[in-house]
Amino acid sequence: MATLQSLDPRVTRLGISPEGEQSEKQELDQFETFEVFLQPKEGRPYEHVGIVHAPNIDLAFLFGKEQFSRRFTCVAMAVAATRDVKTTHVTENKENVYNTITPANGESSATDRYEVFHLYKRGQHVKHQGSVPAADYQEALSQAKTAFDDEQKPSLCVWLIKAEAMRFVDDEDKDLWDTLSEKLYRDALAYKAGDKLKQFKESRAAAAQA
Amino acid sequence: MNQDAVKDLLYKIADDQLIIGHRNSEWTGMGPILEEDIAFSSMAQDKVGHAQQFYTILNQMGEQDPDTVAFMRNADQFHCCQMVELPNGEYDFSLIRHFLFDHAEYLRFSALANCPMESVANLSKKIKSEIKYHVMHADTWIKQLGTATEEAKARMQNSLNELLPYALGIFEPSKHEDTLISEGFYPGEKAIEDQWWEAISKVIDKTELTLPARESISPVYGGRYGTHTEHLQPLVEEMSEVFRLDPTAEW
Repeated sequence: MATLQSLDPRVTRLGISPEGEQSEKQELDQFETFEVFLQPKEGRPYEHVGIVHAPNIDLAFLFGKEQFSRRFTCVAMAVAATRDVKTTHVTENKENVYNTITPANGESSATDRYEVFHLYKRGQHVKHQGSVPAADYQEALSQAKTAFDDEQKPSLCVWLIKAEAMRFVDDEDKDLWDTLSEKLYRDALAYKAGDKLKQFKESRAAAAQA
Repeated sequence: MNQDAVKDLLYKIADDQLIIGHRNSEWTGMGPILEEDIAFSSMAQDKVGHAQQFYTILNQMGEQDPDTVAFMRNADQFHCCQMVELPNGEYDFSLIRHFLFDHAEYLRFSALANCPMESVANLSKKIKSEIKYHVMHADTWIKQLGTATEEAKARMQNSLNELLPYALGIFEPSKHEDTLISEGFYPGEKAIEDQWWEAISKVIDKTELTLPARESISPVYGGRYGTHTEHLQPLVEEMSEVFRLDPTAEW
């Protein structure tokens, strides 16, 4: 039977039947998800940028780097499994989410730490605030209120991640992003395709008039 | 500094990067999962970029311009090792090749970062940080699949056995070994090969894969001086199709 012929020689080589073969849908076709955080500049907080699917946190780290820091500059990255992230609801009307949370009753004696993230505007990324000691997520939320609540800058939602579940880039590996600012060829803007298309259309229009 | 010796070294580095970059880019859009597709494609793009920068240095040394060098030669004029030109095969094959190749590249660029030619030293330092990610990527996959299901382990082991003779071909001694070593330009292929064997052993030891005894593997040489497999010429023709059709095309 004739196979699919494509302008892409790689597709032609696959020898795909144009009739369309059918097979059972596989049961497990997704890995779990991981949340990815980037630090845009030294001294600025980590921000959530999105998720990747991966079989484990090491591969999530590798995927996160190319998925989210392929083009725009950044200096560091961290990842955590989605299942290790707890979030509050997102408030309406710019209300401070901490208003409904009881503050911590003194300092925590717990040895575990939790990373705290705030959302300042709907549609934006949550930003890292720091970490607090706590025995569980609930205590972490109260400790976060004591440590990071700012009435002048209300947070609409809080994310908490157990510190040991988060994987930050090692300091010695921060050179992974050293050459990022030079990779303009990874950005569509660098190809000036719009200009070229405009020129092409103008030349066609001119030719049609002539 | 012996110009012929330096050019010989830079050509083989650049040609390796260009050909493996092209081969790996053939996975673009066909990778096993989206995230891996993007990561593998980005690394392929890095490699083609590395080749271009080495061709630029060669151009400054009197060779033809990078596009001409990359696109207008025939297979027998390439200095790449045969490993990089082999067809992609299944993903296990491409991953093992990536692992064996990038460990060698990391060591090569670490050594060249201290070479006496400033342009080469600076470029090598820069490239090293990119290859570091490539090596991390390779190692993580080898550890993951080398300890996974029976099928995964069998596939990885088969590809490892198949590729090792070609991988030793990366270190085919050049005509100028003694000159490069005595002039302090490069520690020589033998030294890099020893470090490489140690580096890949460390990773393989953390898996259920087995590295065969080094003495039992016969290296596949020839690529450095124009002897290639039948797979290189079709690759070169496909890669240069647009350039040969219209050398002034811009994109």
